[in-house]
Amino acid sequence: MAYDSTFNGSRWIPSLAALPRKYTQFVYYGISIGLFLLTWQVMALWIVPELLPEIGPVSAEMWALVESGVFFTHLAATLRRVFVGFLLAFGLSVPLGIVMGLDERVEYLVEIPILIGISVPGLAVAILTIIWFGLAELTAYVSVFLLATPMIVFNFWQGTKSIDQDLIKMGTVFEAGWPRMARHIILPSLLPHLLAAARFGLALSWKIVVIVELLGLTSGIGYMINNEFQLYSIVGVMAWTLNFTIVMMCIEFGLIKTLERRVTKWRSDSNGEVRA
Amino acid sequence: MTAITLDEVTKQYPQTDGTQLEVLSHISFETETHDFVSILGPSGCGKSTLLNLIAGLDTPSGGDVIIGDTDRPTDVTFVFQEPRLLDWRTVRENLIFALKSKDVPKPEWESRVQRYLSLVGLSEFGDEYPQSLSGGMKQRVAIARAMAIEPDVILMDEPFSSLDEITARELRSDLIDIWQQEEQTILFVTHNAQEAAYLSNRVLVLSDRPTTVVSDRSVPVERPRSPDDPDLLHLSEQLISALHGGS
Repeated sequence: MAYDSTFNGSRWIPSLAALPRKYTQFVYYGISIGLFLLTWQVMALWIVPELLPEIGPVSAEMWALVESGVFFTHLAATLRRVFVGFLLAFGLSVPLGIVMGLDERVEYLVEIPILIGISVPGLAVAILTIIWFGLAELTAYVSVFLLATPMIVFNFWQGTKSIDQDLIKMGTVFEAGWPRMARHIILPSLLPHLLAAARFGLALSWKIVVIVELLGLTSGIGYMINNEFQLYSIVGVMAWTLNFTIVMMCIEFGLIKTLERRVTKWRSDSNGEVRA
Repeated sequence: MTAITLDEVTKQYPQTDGTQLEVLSHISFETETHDFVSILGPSGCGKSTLLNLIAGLDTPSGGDVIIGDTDRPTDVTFVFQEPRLLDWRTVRENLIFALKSKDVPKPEWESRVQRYLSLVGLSEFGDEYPQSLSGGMKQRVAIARAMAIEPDVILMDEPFSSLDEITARELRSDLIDIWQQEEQTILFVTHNAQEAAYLSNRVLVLSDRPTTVVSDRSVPVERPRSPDDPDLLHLSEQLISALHGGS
């Protein structure tokens, strides 16, 4: 949806012109990662060597964390907090967002709290939940729930409002009935919004969890990043952050993008060609 | 046999200032089964309101709408101005959506899909998604979908008005072929006088709001017709002057 491979890069880099189209995406992904690593190494060697460690020691530390298993212990704690909070938020937001899109009384009732919720800083939510619920697991779940819910509701609310009323009328003419309309018209219209909500909701969730862990818990990625910070180990901070980022990228590419490709098959099938 | 009867049908909509906006005023006409009748009216008159009343999507403020003989329920379906296909379903699945919704028994689905797709010239395209089809082809799918449930009456709401003229001409001529094979009753709404004259056995001309029938003309031109037939062009000029308040 937001990305596609129709960009014609071969005009700029002639040697890529011969590559099959499906590889284009991966070639450019590779270039992107390569540029990132190159910039990092150049900065570490010559520009800010005292602030930025080289790739070598950081990747060695990343591997050590994985090999010893300590990374996975804390990853499990963080992911549990992210997913419990996120699923609670998702479970409430889907019906609420849909009802907001269908009934304008509910829309007016909930609109302002949602918009306030979207603009509240994550740090404030983290501090307040720690004050209210103490240094406990529940604090992480509640803070994810509070931060992610408004954002997910917003997506479903807008998605429901964008359902094509003409298709509903078509369904009515053919006497489809509500269960069939829900399955064939409403749900397929909402799927792209469901994926967008999952993507942004998860991103928000893990950011708040890391803050809560840093401020008030004794396990998790955020706690370990803070630990390394207390030791003033830049290598440690970077190794934990990068390892966790890689896991989140795996979720994005392995789960969300795969789902996205499946549900938008009808879109990519056409290749943008139109017959006369 | 009578397919559609309208008896003194009126429709008013309440407005925010408390008054009633009269859209349809005492409309009466009857159409025979297997007839092709066009309703010609200026933009913004109550044409779509009229079709919605006949389709049962809306109820009249006064008068009666009777579809078919009173002792037998009659199936009415609609072809809209836009194709209104489910983009996430293949052409075949779009037809099946209508068949299943209308409780057509499952063993009949495949033969009906085959038959009506070939009738609109799209046999090869059953497994394509709508987004890979052109505007004219999508409208053909919409026509096949309406035909596939084998209704007694098909209501068409300016179905060719968003197509280019060449495509529209092709579809008009194909629609006549299909109608002559299938013998459904078609009520075709348009604001295009030439289209009305070319397609129909009979044209009803509507006035501006509050809308009523100002002229009822039969089209005594043999089929097959050519859209450029001088008799049809002459008739469409008369229809246009009736639209503008002559008769």
